[in-house]
Amino acid sequence: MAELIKLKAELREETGKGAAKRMRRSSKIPGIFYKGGEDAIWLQFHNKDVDNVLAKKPRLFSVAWGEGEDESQECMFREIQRHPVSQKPVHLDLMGITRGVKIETTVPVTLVGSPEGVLVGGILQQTLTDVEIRCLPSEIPDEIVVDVSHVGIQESIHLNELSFEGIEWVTSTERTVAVVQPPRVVEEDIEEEEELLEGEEGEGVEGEEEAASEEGGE
Amino acid sequence: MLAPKRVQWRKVQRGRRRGFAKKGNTISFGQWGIMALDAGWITSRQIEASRIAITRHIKRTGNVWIRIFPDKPVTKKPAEVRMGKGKGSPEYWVAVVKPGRIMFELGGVSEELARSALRLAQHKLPIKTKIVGRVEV
Repeated sequence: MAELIKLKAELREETGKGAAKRMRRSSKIPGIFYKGGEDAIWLQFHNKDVDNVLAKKPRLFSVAWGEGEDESQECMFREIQRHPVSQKPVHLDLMGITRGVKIETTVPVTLVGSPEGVLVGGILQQTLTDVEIRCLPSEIPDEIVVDVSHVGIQESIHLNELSFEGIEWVTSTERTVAVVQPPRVVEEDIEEEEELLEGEEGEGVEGEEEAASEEGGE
Repeated sequence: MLAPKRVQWRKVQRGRRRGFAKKGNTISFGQWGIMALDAGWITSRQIEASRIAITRHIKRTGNVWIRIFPDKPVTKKPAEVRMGKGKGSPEYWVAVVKPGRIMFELGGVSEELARSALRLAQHKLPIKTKIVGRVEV
């Protein structure tokens, strides 16, 4: 297996809102590492280190908070809390993994190909953007790629139609992944015509009022 | 235009708009969206103008989601009326928006088309906004 990306960390003793704010002011990001059956470890990371790791979008990486063997663990991002406006990470949840033990995680779904239905005017709608899967840590895919080129108009792809080696679906297999909707030309046209008519009527009334006021003035 | 069908109170106080959007701050349905960078009131007319700008530009090839709803009534006194004698009558409806709020979402179109459509919609809005994409975990 290829060598994992390494994320440097430091142990932290302070916890709570005030301490977290102080950390963020000094370009640090608070976080936590946990693994089944073991105590959680409070960590802090440097902004730049986190940005470098996130830019590579790794599913698995190793976090090291010291030089010893016990102070380095293979893990994955369980949750990244972000600032609502800047979208920069404000807290990291790292979950330790054990080789050979299946884990549950969420991976993005990507559609490829141009559906047959879209070529005749349909609208492709992706209804499932993330899917929860269960698999071995070494087999976590970067994304679930779904070929939609054979989907016709008013047809859809469900999760139970897809299968990937070594991956079990945790999300309900009855979920629709993508659907090609028929064009809504008629409905929209009527709406727009109504809008235009309303606009014309409105202008007409204003024009009459203006004319009336001019007459009154004379 | 968007407006509530029925409300419990016809007139409400103005309130304050402090802090960031605690909910509705992630892209949930489409691939692209408009995020508010300021706090403000978005009227139902502005929402409708933005929606029309987007749908006409994408020529009905994608899906548009409006993530805000104007549920706050704004009152106004008639012109040349002395102060007092009670609160004015409801004139229009607004949606209260805080920084970080995703106001519109767009999906099923190319990035180029989505950005140009959302840019048109941005010009119809009274606050600073930015176009954002979906953020992966």
